[in-house]
Amino acid sequence: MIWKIAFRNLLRHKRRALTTGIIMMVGIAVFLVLDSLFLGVDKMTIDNMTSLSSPAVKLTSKSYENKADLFPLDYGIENYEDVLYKVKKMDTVLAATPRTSFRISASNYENELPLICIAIDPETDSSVFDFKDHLKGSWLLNEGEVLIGANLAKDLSVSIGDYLLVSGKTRYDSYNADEFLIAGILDTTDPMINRQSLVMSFLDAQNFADLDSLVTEIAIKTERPNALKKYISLTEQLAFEINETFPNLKAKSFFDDAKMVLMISKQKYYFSIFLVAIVLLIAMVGIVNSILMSVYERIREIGVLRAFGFKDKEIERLFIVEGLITGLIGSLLGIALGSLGVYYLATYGYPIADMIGDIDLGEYPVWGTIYGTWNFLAMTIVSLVGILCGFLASWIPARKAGKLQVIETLRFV
Amino acid sequence: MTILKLEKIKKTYQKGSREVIALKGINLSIEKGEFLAIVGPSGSGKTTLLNIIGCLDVPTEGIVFYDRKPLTGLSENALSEYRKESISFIFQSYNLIPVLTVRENVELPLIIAKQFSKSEIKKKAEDIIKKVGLKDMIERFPRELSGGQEQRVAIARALVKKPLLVLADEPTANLDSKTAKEIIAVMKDLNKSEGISFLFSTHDPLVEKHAQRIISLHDGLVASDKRK
Repeated sequence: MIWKIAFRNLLRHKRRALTTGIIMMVGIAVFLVLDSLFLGVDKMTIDNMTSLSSPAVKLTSKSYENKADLFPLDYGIENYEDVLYKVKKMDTVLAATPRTSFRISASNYENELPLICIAIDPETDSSVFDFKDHLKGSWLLNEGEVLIGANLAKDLSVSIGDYLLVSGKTRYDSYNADEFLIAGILDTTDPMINRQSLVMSFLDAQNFADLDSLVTEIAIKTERPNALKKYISLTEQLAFEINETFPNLKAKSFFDDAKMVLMISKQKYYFSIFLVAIVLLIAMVGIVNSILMSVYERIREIGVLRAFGFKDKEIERLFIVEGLITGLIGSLLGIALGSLGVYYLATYGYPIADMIGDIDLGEYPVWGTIYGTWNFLAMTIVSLVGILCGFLASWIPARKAGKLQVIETLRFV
Repeated sequence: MTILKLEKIKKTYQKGSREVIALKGINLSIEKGEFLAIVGPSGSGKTTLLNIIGCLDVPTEGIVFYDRKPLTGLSENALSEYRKESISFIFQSYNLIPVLTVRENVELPLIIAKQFSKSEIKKKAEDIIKKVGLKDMIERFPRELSGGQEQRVAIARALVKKPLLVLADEPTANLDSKTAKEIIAVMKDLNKSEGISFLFSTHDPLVEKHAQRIISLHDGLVASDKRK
């Protein structure tokens, strides 16, 4: 009977209940869409990082680690072939490939741009990184060929088949310059690679910069479980083992590279929680208000129910049920609207490249189209929170109704 | 059989800084099946007396006996428990629950009592609605009824649980004289057939005319107690 009375009272004041419900609906829907988008960004970020720039574990010499930002050629891994062989034998290692990065300049004979040259082993690089998936043109098959980022190609107005003049310091600080044929263009989802990278084979790099057998980095791939936490602990564990095995070298896990991104992702998450909290607070004020109005409008009804033997708790329940139903309706509407948004994002995606155009996102490795992710846990939690808000918001006026003295309420008769 | 006895009932109120003495020592007993009216000018203590008899309020001094059991020192919830079983109310402005149908309004006291099965509740409600002559309106909402019909529903609601006593506060005040007459007739019929006691507070001479006993209050005391 309590449910019947509460439900019919809500129906009687449809507009009032709906207004409150709609505020809640908007809050919950916005949260779900943002959450889905942020999760999508995170997934994309992490996927981009693992597949393009940040392997599970990065192994360098100890001195290189501190100066990695400068891309020096002074601190290679000693006996890298031996190290590579041993690393590949480790249990959780799926693949490993050497890389050496150094600074160069590239010119189309008119303009010159400073770049990072990534020297790779064309045979094994694809076992760790996914450059090939983003490649237009051909892979490094012959001597004297390079791959360059798509934005870089645009900036220098060059395309596949053109020549670039590459210049830079060798390992021994002398200058060198040479012509290279652009064999392919890398259009990846990592702006850093697209804008400032040139990829050449170790063989060419050895000739160009006198590298001999210098390798500054060994990139190691491990299994990639779906859960990010699992992946991170796996990489941390592996980095620890490698550090134990090679005390003279420094192994950094994926987590070291991802720290910043993960922190930003946490901030985004807090931001969306903050947003939904504000909207729910507004909705709660709405519920408090409408139930309070309801209490005063129905003060005679309260009196009658009390006179016929309703206890104070039962009167309270009557109004709390109204708040609960409002919260439930708001939550359900919010989930329905939010699901539409998430469905759109998951199916059609958010084309960040088209939306932002050429604005530089800095080092944040996101590009292309972001696809939303379904998060059923968030949906469940947020709807429970919505119902809880309805409960809490109606509790205050309900207590007031319950505490009314019978004679006071009947004075309005 | 005496169903209610009041002994030296006094009631004082605090109205701002002033103390108001509403009842100054009322002695009264009510028998089963009585149809009695309490009359008196405004401020004579009618409503206070009705509140105390209806267990909506407690006296400052004196004892109320229901069925020979004293009702002193009871909590608000214990009083409401007592009301639930033994007392029903009819109000001047009917006070039906607007979102419930005639049937649901009448069923309400039985549902609150939590003593009856669904089928019992249904049957009892239908029986009493038939007796007040609203069989055809059973699924209607209060807003679809006239004032007289609403008061009939209120009477059915008051009687459905077969209480010891029905308290009616100016039950005819909002009705035209023809409807008021009908309403009094309905109550009198039920008083006879069900043996339920009725107690009115009223200004209406029509009610006074039909009452078997008239208690007149003056200044917080019983001024006269006449039986016809």
